[in-house]
Amino acid sequence: MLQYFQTTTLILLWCVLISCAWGVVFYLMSGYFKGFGSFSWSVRGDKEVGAGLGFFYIVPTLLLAPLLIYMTHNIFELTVIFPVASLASFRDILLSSSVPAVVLAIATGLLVRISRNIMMLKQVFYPASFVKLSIALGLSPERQLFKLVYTKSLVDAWVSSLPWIFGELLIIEALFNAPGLGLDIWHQAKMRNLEGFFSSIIWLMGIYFIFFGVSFFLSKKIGHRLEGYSL
Amino acid sequence: MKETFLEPRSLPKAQTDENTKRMRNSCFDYMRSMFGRPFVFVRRFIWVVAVVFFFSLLVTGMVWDVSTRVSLSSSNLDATWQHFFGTDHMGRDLFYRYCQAMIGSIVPLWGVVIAATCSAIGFSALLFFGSERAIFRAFSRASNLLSALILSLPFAVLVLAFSVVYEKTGLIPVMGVGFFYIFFKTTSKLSQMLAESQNFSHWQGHEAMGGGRLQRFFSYGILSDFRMYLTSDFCFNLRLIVAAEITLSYLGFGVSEPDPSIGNIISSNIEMALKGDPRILFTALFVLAVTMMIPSKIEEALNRLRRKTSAKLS
Repeated sequence: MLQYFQTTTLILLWCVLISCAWGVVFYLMSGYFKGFGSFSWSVRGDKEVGAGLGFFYIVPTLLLAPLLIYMTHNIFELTVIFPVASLASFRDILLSSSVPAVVLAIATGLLVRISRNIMMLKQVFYPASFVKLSIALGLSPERQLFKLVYTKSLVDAWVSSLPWIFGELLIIEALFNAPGLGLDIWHQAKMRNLEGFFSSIIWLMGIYFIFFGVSFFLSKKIGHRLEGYSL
Repeated sequence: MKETFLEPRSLPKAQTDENTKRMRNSCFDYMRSMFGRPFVFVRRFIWVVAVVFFFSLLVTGMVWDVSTRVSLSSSNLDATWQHFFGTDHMGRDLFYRYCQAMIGSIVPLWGVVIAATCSAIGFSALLFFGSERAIFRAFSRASNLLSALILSLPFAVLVLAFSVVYEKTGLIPVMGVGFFYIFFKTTSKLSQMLAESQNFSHWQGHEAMGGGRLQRFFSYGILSDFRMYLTSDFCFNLRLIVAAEITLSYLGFGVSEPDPSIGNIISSNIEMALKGDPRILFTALFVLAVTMMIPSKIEEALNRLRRKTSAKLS
């Protein structure tokens, strides 16, 4: 069971890391290239942000992952499927967990939500008085807004994506043969071992509620801080 | 020239020339928008191909009842005019299998989404209509509590748990869990929006002038203030339920062989792709991509209709 915990936790931690890195990159790009923040895969720009980005909010893992596995195997001659757990070192498992985490972050729309939140929050907070003051003092408004916009967009995206992340985790682990809780749930379900099946689900839900609690707590804390801002 | 009863009224020549010039410019603008911006052209072309292909799958599945017979002598054939996507390892025509997958699973699932959304709207209307009575308020609180409980759990995990307990393969677990999940999700969001709408001035004005609750719910709510949310949520649910069914079929719990589903076609042929024959995998992924793109197009069309209606009213 410990092995299953390890792999699932590693995939989720990679997901957190990827989302944090993407948030920073997108924030910087949207500040550096003025038109970058408004591109939305649509002709009419911001008017159809919702519809334009809508397709990318849920890209089934079964669309992305088999394509990735095929391309890396046949074109780049790389194997992204997990190594055999008993023969692999911790370093191999750590590196192998990164690819499922990338697919998870894209397929659940986490990265798209972070991008959309950053764009929206910048528009909301730009007219704020503290931003105008920073401009008047010759400071960079992007720098002033970074901490607030970055944290809030990350937390909001995680809160709304959590159910999809944990739902897609099952299929991700099945596709990549990652020995995590999701794969264990699938094996127990195939064997119709209800006791093992529900105990693995309870462990997975435990991790889910820990993530939910942390993101809920952070969300409330940010909300309290925002009450003090004059907008 | 003097107008008569029989002769049509003709415009002055200058205005006719102006109209012709305007029409020609708009045609040039349209052509320029298509070919002057290659990204736009490619995007529109992809959408047209996707929509045409999707409807051809639906129509073929409904009109032609071709049984996909096993024919081992014609297994793993490449794409030809007889077999548009070739055949699989059992010699079954792939195009018709995808048609059957559309008619057999995608269409009923989208029917479930429509039914759940309509039921949620009806239920919310009922709760709003009777919200002055204690029993309806109790119902409303119970519904919100149940929604919070169900919606806090991941949908795919719920569907898998139900299908394991149900002990049979097929669409019933996805349809059952999907109906209730979408029902409670929509009801919960509608009750939240109704609570916020009490502060809108046009709602308060309508109430002050003696307007009915149901009339307010439908005219100001469903057909006006809530329409954007309902549209995007409806299209999101269309994609969600299809993704869940395909996942379940891939894992072996949804629609299983010999009945076709995109999930079980992918699971049977992923190994073949890794061995160097990706034809079936790519065709399955193409059909899946098209199926997931169609709800986005529906959302775009509904949003465009909503903007036109709002522009006319204003």
